[in-house]
Amino acid sequence: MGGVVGGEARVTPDLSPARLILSESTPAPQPVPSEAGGAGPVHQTPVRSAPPANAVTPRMSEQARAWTLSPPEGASTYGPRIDALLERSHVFEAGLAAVMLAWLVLAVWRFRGARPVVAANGGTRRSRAWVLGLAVCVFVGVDGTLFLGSERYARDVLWNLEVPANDPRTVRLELNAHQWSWEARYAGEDGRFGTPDDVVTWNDLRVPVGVPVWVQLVSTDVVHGFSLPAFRVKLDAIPGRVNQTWFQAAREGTFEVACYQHCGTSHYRMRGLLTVLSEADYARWLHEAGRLATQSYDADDAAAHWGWEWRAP
Amino acid sequence: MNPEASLASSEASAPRRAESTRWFAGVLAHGAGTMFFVALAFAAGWYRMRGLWVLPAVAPSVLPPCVAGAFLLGVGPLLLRASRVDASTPRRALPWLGGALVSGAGFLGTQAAWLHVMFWYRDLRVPEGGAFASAFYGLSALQAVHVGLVLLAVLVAAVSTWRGGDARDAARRALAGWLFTVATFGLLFLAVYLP
Amino acid sequence: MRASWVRALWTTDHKQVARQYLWGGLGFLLLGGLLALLIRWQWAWPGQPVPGLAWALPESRGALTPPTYTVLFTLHGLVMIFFAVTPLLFGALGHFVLPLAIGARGFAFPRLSAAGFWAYAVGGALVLASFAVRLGPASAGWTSYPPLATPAFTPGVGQTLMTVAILCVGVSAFSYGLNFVVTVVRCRAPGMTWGRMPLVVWGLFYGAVLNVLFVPVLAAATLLLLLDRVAGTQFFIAGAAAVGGGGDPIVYQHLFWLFGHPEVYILILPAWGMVGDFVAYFSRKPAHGYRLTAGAMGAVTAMSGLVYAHHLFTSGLSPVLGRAFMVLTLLISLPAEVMFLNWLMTLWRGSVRLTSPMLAALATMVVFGLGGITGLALGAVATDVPLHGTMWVVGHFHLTMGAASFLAVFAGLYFWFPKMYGRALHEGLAKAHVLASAVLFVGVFGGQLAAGYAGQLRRLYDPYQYTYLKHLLPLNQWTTGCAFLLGAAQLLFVGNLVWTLWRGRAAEPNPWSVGTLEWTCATSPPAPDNYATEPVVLRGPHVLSQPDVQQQLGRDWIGQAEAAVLGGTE
Repeated sequence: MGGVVGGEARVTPDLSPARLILSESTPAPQPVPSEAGGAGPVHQTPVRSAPPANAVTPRMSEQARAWTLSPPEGASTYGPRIDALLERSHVFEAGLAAVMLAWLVLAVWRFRGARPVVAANGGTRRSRAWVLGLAVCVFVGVDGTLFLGSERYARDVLWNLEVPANDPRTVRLELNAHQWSWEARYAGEDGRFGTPDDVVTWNDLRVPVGVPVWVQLVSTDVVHGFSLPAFRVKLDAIPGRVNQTWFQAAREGTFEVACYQHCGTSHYRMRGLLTVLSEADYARWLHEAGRLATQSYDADDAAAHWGWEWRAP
Repeated sequence: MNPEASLASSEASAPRRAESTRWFAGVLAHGAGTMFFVALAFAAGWYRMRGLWVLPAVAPSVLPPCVAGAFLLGVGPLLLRASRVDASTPRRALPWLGGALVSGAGFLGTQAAWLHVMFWYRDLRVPEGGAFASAFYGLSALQAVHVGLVLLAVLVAAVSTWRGGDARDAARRALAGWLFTVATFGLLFLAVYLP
Repeated sequence: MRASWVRALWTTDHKQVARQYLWGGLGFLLLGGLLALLIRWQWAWPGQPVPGLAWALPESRGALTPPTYTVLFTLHGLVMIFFAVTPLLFGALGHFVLPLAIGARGFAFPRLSAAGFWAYAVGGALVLASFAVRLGPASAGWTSYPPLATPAFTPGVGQTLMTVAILCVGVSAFSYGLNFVVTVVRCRAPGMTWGRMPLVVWGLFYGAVLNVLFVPVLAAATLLLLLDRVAGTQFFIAGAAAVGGGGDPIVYQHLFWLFGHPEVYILILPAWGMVGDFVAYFSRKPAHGYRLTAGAMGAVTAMSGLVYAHHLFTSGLSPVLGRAFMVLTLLISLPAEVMFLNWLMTLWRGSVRLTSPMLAALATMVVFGLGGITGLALGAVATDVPLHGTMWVVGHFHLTMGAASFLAVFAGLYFWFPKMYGRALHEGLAKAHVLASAVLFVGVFGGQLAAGYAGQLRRLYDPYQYTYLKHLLPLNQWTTGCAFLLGAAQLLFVGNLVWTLWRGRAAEPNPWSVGTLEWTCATSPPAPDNYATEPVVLRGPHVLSQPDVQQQLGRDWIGQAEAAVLGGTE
């Protein structure tokens, strides 16, 4: 899993084509997620919290997977909760769609050219009450499930920054989106941002497994969208404000970072890699990268010092 | 609803119906203009909330807009009076319409003089002055244009009265427009002028 | 006095204005559709030369380049929404039907509707002109989010022209919105009470109310963007470290979606109205729960401005706002369900006639139902996260405001074409067109939903840059196949239209056997002032299959203003 060394990338974040070429020519590791980690394909069964159950299932062919209506392979501790909620609501919705279609087809088939049974005013008081009642029942059932599940997830995970804030192992990550690359800043071993041992990487995130990762996100130029498809994470990177979110990796491997907001011509190339390492590997990497960064630290390079004091929630 | 009755009423008062149609359309148009203004004022309020609202070294005083606001408030009652003169003596509306025009001109004059002073003597420039300056001039000008349109309608009404026409309906329409300009000015005052 | 070409172009007859909008809208529909096919081509065969496009893109020998591709999806969205579907629904069908259906001789302000069309035409001309300017047309996405849409990142004149063009269609939309509202409130024929209006009039009315209320908001956002582009202001640019300054791009997003979400209801409300009417007409039965349906449409209208921030769930919205907008968004599905059940109940125990407008209305129901259901997961914060910005969203909103609005446009066109042009379209071709379009719409947007669920993000020039999306190529090729077939199916309509206008047979006076004013009191096409004598309305629009009517008249329908039957029919 060779590739980018953290300290190398202290590049002035300008908008010149030269920088673009640099970030493109950066030798990025290109392993296919399924081949990474050596453990073979891993599917998460829906679980409520860490540690995840690593049920290893035989992999179906890549081509066939396209037709199964399945989300991207997951690698997040809490992702299965969203997946389960989505699956549950899709079952409801598929049922709803089936009933609706069946009703429509049946009505057309059964009453095509039939003798109409007519109430003078379009339905009776009773039939209208049925319509209202049925609508309310469907609404409570389907929307209610969705709302409660969503609300619980938002309360426990999505908007609950207490988890990373209270966990001493939390990895803090400052992320700066550019046209068209992801620049990441780690606090280094001293745990403070804005010091010489800050590790800066381009399009190459590294996080330890099983530990909350707390991301604070900005943009240098236009609105970008930071997404980790395998971790069910999405957040806008907006110039002039710091957005934050968090996630936790359930297993080691290499995954992709994607931009989901149209950010210009090369939007589609705004791809980064996220490597989940074991805690020991991560510590080793951070130590080494921090050492290199300290060596090449240039106090006069103002553009390289874009980090900020960590913002509490 | 009894169709025959409504038919009869519609034929009896076709001009009245046309007038209320015009009045209703005027209200809708002024309402949409106000919506446009509200959207812009929302943006101004947002910049204020985000702390992107840097007041100039010499903050504008609240006194000039208060004076202007008093002029603006004066327009309404005069228009109301003009719209209620007796049908037999439509020219009686002239002094009231004239008064409304003078009061409205007082509003526009005060605002214009104030913006002039801010720009040339207080060095509050666009776009250097940032979001505050943009909102200050932009929203003031937009609101003044709205008032100006209402006053134009009053002027047309006054001229037609002077020539012997009956402009009470026009005064009533202008009155509706005036209400919206008061609302937008209040919003402008709260969102921009109030320190 | 005036030259005949001036009279032909500057017409204040609402039926003529409707025809002008119809041709403009169909033209832009063709343009937007072709752009869509190019986008689909790119996703099936990324970077491969498009056959027959080498003349337009000589440098790449017809292959789409990333800059061209950004132009394609930007213009596809803008053209379809502002220049094709809205003008077809409101400009063409709305202008034609609304005064006729309420028994008016025209709009309250005929010159305003003519001016509105010309504002639209100027906007359209600017869009077309933007293809010819340096750096090409707009490319910042249909939403034109700043700072990308500011000159710092999109310097081309094309983007500025598009911003002005949006202001032009805003003027047009506002003018017909005002005209529609005033006309419905003030100009109904005697006896045309609110409860006797056809549902399509309700739909157009509510849509017009939304136009009057929210188009000014779009105008505000667009104006600020335009000032940023041409006057050097910094409302949205700044905060971006690369360019310095002090604005906030999020304001634009709020203003834009405060307009943008009502806009999707603007696009669907007339469609709902038509479905409600046509389902009743062609089940030969009064609409079930007329008041409930009209009320549900009103409820959606009232709530439409209160749900917009679900477009911003991933923008770092505060949890308080996130929760509020989640609740409101889910809540707005309730009236839609009531309406849908009413349509189904209208069909039930009716006498269903599968004419071309009916087929199109049923197809609208199906695609709208699927689109609405797939939108639920986007309205809840947690489930929105994995789907946000993916092709799932694209599939969802194309089903509702793309496919459903499109099919409703054709439902209306097939229904009123005999009235508009006095000639009857070929029923068989029309049915084939509707059926093929509906099936292929489900294919195309179903494929997009599947790709989105698998994580494919929107607006990617080459989605297969991402390893986790590589396996979606065959799915996308299948979807693209459906899209090309869908494009080809439109030839059925074009052929039908051309043939009918050239030598179609004359339409019968009331081909659908319905009782609404335009079919029972006016000629086809109607005279310039619509009605020889002002109709006096006696009953609602769906008085079908009533026993006393059948007894007296020997037919199952009676005109809304027909005085033949005395007694209690409402």
